[in-house]
Amino acid sequence: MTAEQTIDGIFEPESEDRSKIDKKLKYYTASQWQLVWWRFRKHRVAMIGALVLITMAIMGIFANFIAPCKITTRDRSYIMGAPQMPKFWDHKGFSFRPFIHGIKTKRDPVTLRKLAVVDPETRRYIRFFVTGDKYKMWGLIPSSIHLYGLEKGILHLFGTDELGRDLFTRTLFATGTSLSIGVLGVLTAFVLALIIGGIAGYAGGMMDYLIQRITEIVRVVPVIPLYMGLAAAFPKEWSNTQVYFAMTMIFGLIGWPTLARRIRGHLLGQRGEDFVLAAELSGASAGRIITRHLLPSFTSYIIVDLIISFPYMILSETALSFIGLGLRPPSVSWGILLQDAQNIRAIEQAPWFFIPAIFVVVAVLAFTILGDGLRDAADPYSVTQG
Amino acid sequence: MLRFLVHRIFGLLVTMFFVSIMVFIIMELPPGDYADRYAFRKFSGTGVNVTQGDIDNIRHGFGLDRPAHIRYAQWMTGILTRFDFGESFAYETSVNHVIGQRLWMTLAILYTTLILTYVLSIPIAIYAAVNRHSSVDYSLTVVSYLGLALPNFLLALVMLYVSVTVFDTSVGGLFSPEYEKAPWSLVKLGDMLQHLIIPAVVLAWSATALQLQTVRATMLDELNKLSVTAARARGIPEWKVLMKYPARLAVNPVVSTIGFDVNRIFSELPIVALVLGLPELGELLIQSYLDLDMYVAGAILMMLTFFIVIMNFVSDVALAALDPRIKLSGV
Amino acid sequence: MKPMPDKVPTPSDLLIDVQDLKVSFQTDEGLITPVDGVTFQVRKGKTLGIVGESGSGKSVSTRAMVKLLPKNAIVNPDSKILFYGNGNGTCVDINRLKANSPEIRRIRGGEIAMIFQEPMASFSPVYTIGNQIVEAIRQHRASGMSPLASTATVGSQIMESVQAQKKMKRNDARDLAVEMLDRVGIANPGMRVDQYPHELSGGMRQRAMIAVALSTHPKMLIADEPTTALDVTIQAQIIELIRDLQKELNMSVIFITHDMGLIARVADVVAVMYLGVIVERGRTDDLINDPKHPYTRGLLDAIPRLDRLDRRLTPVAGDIPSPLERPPGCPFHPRCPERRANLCDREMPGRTQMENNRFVRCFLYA
Ligand SMILES: Nc1ncnc2c1ncn2[C@@H]1O[C@H](COP(=O)(O)OP(=O)(O)OP(=O)(O)O)[C@@H](O)[C@H]1O
Ligand code: SF4
Ligand SMILES: [Mg+2]
Repeated sequence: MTAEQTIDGIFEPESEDRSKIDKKLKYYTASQWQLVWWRFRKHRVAMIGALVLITMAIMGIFANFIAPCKITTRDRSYIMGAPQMPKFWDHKGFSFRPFIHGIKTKRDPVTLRKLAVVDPETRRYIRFFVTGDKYKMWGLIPSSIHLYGLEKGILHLFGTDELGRDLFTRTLFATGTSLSIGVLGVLTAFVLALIIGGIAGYAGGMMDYLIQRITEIVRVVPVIPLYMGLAAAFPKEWSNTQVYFAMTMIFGLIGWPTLARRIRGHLLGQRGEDFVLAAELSGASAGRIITRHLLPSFTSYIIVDLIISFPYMILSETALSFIGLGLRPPSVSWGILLQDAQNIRAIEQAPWFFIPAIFVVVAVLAFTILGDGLRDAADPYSVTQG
Repeated sequence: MLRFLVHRIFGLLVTMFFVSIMVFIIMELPPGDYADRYAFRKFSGTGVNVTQGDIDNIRHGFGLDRPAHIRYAQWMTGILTRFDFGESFAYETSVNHVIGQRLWMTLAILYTTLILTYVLSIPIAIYAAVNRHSSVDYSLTVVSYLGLALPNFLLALVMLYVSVTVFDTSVGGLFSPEYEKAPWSLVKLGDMLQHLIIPAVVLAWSATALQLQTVRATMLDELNKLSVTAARARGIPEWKVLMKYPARLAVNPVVSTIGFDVNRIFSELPIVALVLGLPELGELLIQSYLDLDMYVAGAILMMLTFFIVIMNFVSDVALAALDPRIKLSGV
Repeated sequence: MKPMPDKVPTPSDLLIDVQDLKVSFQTDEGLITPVDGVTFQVRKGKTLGIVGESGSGKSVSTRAMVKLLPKNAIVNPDSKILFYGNGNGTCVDINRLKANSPEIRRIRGGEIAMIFQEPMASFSPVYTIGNQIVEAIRQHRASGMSPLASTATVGSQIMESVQAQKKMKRNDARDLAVEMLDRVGIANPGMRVDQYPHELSGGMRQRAMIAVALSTHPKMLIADEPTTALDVTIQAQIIELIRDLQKELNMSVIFITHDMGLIARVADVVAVMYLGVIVERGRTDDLINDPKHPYTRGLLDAIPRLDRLDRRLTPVAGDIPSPLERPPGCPFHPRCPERRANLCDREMPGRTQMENNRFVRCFLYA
């Protein structure tokens, strides 16, 4: 017979072309992370979620540069003004450079209140990389360059609030604050869960029982009332930075049990495995065994868990700040911005006050679908043949 | 069965004990104490110069100078023996009086929400799982994602707006003005139920979203079980197969998460109640946190948690009754 | 057994005649056809054994016989599943019956019963064994039947349409369930009938499953790997039980397994399946003593034999391809040690008829 025949009498299947075999070989030798990434890439919705979150993060990180002004800058000519849409044409014709119409102030003949009225005769063109309010990027790099601006005045993409402050600017900064509280909260919860869950899972026995009890209690008390109780204890004289960190602390403090439970379950399951015994026999320390042998096999699950717990942090922060027990003005966060939208009057008179709510919804949705996609990708049982 | 019950009740008591300690700690956390706030409130603006001695007198009068564990014991004894949760600082009357009817309102809202959640989620999720890839199934996925993402206070605002503009009814509160002070009657009950719909819908929204997903996932799981194929192989009519086998088991995770749902509802209740102006415990809780009226807050926190623990217990017992695989012999 | 002339089965002793059965599935990856033109017959009171590796389509083809396939399955409308055991001797084409119609449900469970590989999973964990037997009995048997009538005569009492009759009373059905449990050799049936599946041992569960299946006195039993999950001694007992009951009820059996050794003990006729086609079929003796198809030979070589302990077990080399990448030509050619270049990989071999109603699908015999 031909040289194709191997010693065992098994044929190299000739109908299978080489590229296919290569593909299979690549699949079998790929690392866990490569597998997860390949499967995740197929998940189109989850990819969109990831992109949305990256965009939001960039908005938060570069808020100073993207925003046309500072969060406290007041535009007295445009109080409680509606969002302004950049235009390319009007009754005078087309313009390559986007513009908005100017504003005139009039008095309402009945209430005698000042009213901002669009003046279709004037055009204010939008310029990019303009000089405006001074700021320090990340508190370090002084600059006054803004992504965009008008020749005169401020372009209010999302409108303004009751004090004439630009809602787009405020939303950008709020995005940064709210997301970062989420990140810090999740990280705190994670570190606590790792330590506590690790101890419980590895030590077992009495320690395990005690931690189980604590977990149980944190699980039965309704979460947001509990957060509120802790937040109510923040001294009034605390600075906003202090409140900010205190909030991440309480999110972490109350968020760890779910995570710890999973870590604990996993550790208990793996403790009897051969490779752990082997490591123990060779004299590795407990800490080393946990970090070197036990956790890596669990990393993908941990990441999924972290991603999934983000929405709860974000919604909790929003809820707390919304009722005035969380961050306080002049800080901005999604919850604080939504304080202005607490009543029906706001919906009727200034529906744009709800724009930050869209950010909350989109962020939570994005985290949820991203988490679901990652979970599917990380689940080894979903591997299909070939 | 008896051992099982005793075991669970014991566990319940232990949990409540630890919870009471935690609640007490929360009550003690805010800086300053009742005496400071009492003195400030009583004498501020009156021109009277309050000395540290006066405050100490007040403190002694309230027994606040005793060590924490004694005060904890007194607080607990009051609750356990006389069902007395102490004094409200902001209302200058007993906590029980402040809470009053609000407790029943809270429970009315809770149970309306729970019933609404299960009545909606179970049948829809079962239908969606049986008709996988149907339009109902896809809309279920979308709705349940939205249910998790939409902050409930926002939903409450939207509902308020819709009911005011479209239906021209005010949904704030639990009663129409004419029944507010009226004695209980069937008409008043009907009026209350009408007002309960919106809070129940708002609160049931995310609980339903979660349950839709769980029931659908379990149902899909169960539909693929061999026992279902085996039942079909016996020639049993399809709807009977579905109801008796997969649907019956798809309800189990719902039963086992009743406590979780109650927790979730209570967690969202305060803010929803604040927006909708509902006279119940959640709204009072926020108010008392803002006023640092910690005895009221503590009492509410204890009550809410107590109901969650009780519902956990109910769910454990119901699950054991539903699933013969769960042994009833304790542990 | 003296060689008989090849007798073409006549409708008088045929129970079921499956002709050119094709089943496809709509999947995310596309349309797959795991059963691609399967033809076989089962005679009254006889046993057909179906062997083949995992994924060869054994379960799918037998489930298609009672329309028990999931929603994404498409059965070719030209396929025929002629059932001659329909009460008064008329013949129905099961493939023409509507899914979930009363007729198919009467046949399913009433005339053709099934038992499965995993006895634990075949029972719902939340109902008692008795509950699930009573359910089957009340579905198919009318009232007024004596629960103590000898099992041989009850079969003929099965009503044409139970729906039209009054259902058997719950208590009577329960008595019958206890009797059935007793019949399948479960000790203390009065107690077992009220127990849950998890309270029974594996062997007992399979016995109980047989009790459920046979409680309606079907004309045919499809046993889909009934003993794979059990250990060897219990396996032997269960097979013995099925054989006894088969004789007693004059029932036909389709016995599905991976195990050539087992098939030799139970089947009158064997069909060997590979990737959705029957590659060889014949009387058990003929097939075991003189396997023709290279795949059949491979399967027989895989049986451990006491007289050849020195020889290494030789399972058929290579993997069974996934239904998505079905090889062209003879489906077995990538693994066949005797394949013919330029032929086997291009054309599908036809059926070569041999004596004793035997056929092989292989170019070696064409
Ligand atoms: N619902 C389904 N959807 C898609 N493909 C299916 C479905 N059910 C079965 N298949 C495919 O049909 C093929 C044959 O399956 P079948 O269960 O009949 O094999 P089998 O011979 O019974 O194997 P085993 O010995 O493992 O029971 C398999 O490749 C399987 O992937
Ligand atoms: S047809 Fe060819 S490939 Fe197929 S079994 Fe026969 S010899 Fe082997
Ligand atoms: Mg099978």
